[in-house]
Amino acid sequence: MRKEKKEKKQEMASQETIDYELDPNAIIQTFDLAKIYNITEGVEIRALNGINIEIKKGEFVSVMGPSGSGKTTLLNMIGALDNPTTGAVYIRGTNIAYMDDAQRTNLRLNEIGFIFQFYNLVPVLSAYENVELPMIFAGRSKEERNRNVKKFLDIVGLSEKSDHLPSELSGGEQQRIAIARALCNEPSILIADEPTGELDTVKGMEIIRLLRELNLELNQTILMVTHDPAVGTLAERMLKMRDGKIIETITTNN
Amino acid sequence: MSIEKKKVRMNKQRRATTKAVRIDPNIVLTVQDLTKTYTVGNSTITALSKVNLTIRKGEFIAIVGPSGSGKTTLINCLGALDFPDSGKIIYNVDGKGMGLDLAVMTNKQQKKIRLRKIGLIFQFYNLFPILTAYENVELPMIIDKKGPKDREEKVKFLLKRIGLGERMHHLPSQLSGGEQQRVTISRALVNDPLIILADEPTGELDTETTTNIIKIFLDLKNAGESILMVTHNKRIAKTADRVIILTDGVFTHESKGGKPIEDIYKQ
Repeated sequence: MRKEKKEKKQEMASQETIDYELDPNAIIQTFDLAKIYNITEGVEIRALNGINIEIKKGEFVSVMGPSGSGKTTLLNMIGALDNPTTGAVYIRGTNIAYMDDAQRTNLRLNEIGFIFQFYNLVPVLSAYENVELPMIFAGRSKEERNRNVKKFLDIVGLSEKSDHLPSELSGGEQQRIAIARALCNEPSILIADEPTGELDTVKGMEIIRLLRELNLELNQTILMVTHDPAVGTLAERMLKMRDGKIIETITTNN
Repeated sequence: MSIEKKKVRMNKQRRATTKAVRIDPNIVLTVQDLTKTYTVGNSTITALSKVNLTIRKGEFIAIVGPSGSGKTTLINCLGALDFPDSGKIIYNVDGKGMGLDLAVMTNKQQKKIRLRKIGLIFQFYNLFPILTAYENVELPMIIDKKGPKDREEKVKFLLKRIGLGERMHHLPSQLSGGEQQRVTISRALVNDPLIILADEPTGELDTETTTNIIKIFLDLKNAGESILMVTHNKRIAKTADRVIILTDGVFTHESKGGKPIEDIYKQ
């Protein structure tokens, strides 16, 4: 255990010597980001292979690519859910590799809002309680929690269903609750991993329209992963991935 | 008033008639004539039809059935996540024989039962990905307004007991499927429930990990926990005290005295 920590410190120290060019307007910047999995001795998979991206405040960016291209791995690195093998992720000018566990938890709770393909709501809690949850862990007061739960349930159009359990809601409604939960701590960036993956086309488009509204009306920065071109092209900027690399960046007219 | 609002109001009125009944103190839960139907388009699907079941303290029961047989509907009804059309679900709420019917409780009472009396385990773990194993287990205690000292003591005890003492500050994405399911089991136990309800707890796991999870269930049973598990896996069902076959929403067979499951199917 101690040895591991020592190695990690040495690794971090070696990274510290690299001078990255930081953009003060960027919410997210990644530099030569790589994630390598050693399957067996001598056999490795490069899930990410040198990713450099920059996302500015108020941007809506989609990441597209086939299954296995590294999309979700990239989101997990940016969201501090996993650690890169080499390279760096900066969130609002801070290298997340230098954060301790408490700072990373704080980052996940306050700076980043997450939306997942399978919604990941807590089944035994009501819609209201699910939205409230990250605020409890962030130590927000009861008044603030109450205010924000109501505010964001209203924004996603589900104020009427605050007492309902996830099992009493449709897939689209569950994803809306997940969006309200992701926004309740008013994060700098909303990260969405295949948010329409479990929904039919109509419901999926409703979710994307909601994300676009949040982006335009609240200036919410959004990074979304999808394999669906119809969904991906609705963002302002589209990053195409293949084999752990970004192979193309497309600016749409949205 | 919309139809939906009317329904909610009727439900609330119906549930406001809760009355305690005396039941055998050694019984955890008794289910009487439980029926649940769903309407899909113009047709009605019967998910459960007049199901009867009694679970005694410390019993490990497996309900086996194929996909669509009504297993998850049963767990959802018993776990107060869904509500039956008719029938009773009576919990021994104080452990001393005070029986309360889930179907006629108020929303507030149901919430308390769900939080304090039932430990739910799901096939896909249903952990909150941005919280660590420790925080996920702590969650029901926070919702139940338990103090920080109690929470720390209980969460650490449970995670250490289940072999995750070294990994309690890991995120779900940093844990294997079997480890995630062990976190879920700890979360289910954290408020000292009357019963553990497990919905296909090994559905996502390989054979070796499945065996390990079942060993944990057997340890829990030997420690006095009551467990109801639904599964399509006959091999793991065999390990339970009683095996009940669910087919098209009806209990068709039940094992007596540890009879091999193949024999039950032959009946």
